[in-house]
Amino acid sequence: MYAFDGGHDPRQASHEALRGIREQLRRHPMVTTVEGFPHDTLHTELRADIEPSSIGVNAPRGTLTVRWFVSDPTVPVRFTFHYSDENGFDCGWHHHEQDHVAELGHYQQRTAEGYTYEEFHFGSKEPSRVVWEVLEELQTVLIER
Amino acid sequence: MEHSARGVEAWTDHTTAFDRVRSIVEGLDQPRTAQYIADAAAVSETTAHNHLTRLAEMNVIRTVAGEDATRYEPDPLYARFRTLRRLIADHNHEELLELKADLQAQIEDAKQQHGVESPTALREQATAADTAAETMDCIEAASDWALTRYHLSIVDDAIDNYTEYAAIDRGTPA
Repeated sequence: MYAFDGGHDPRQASHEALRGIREQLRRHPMVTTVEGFPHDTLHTELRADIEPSSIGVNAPRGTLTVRWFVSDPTVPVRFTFHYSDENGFDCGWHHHEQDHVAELGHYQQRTAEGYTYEEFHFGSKEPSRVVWEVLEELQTVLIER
Repeated sequence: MEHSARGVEAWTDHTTAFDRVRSIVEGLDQPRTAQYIADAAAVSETTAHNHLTRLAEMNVIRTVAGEDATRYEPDPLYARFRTLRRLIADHNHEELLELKADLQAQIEDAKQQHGVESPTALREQATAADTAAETMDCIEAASDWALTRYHLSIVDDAIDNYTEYAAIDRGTPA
């Protein structure tokens, strides 16, 4: 079995983070449905249907895919909130290792030449709070397009 | 650019202070003080303390004595039983057996794909990866694998105790 030396189990923390993220996504007015994959309850990934017109933003419907990875308290949490819409727009707010910006937090957006990257500082790394920060950023990006 | 307050106005518009405190403390990956939770939940420390006391009395969270202040973390048994209860409510015994087989197949696939016997061994590969992308791939796969093992342990609980738990859930204990 996977060993964890006392305290809070990172596997349970990952599961509970995704469960909490799902609850928050359901409360946001841009989100119509949220499903867990590969199983609705025992999920490792969430997919939320986004309807920008529900908050008056003129943009096509899209999907926000969320992953969350807890290792242990000494290691930074990694996560990805990645968005794509029916017209091929593709972007994401991620917090993990990559070779493009100095810190873990970054925003990436697909262009004809591939992804572009810029640093993104998350105001909080607590799952519920990240949901609302990312959805506000997404709203801004969709309005400015 | 400072993003610390981004999204907070919408969050407070659509949730109560209790909802925000509960969601923050249930998502913690390590024990935190009432001050930390208050800041994260966009409430006063007094409000956070009052809600945390209620949640601890309800066994949703538990307290951890710290050198300077009490810390709070999710109650692992409560969290586990919440997932277990959902499985029992949504699945019959046969479906749980199928779910167990699916999870076991995912674990076998991970072993075959990565050529190691455990998520821990796969995490060790991440430290030796040549690129950041390879590191992240190993971390993702190891986390999914560990999480699948956790899910399998809950499904095993559900299967082993199905008759008793399902009767309790239906209000007809044996």
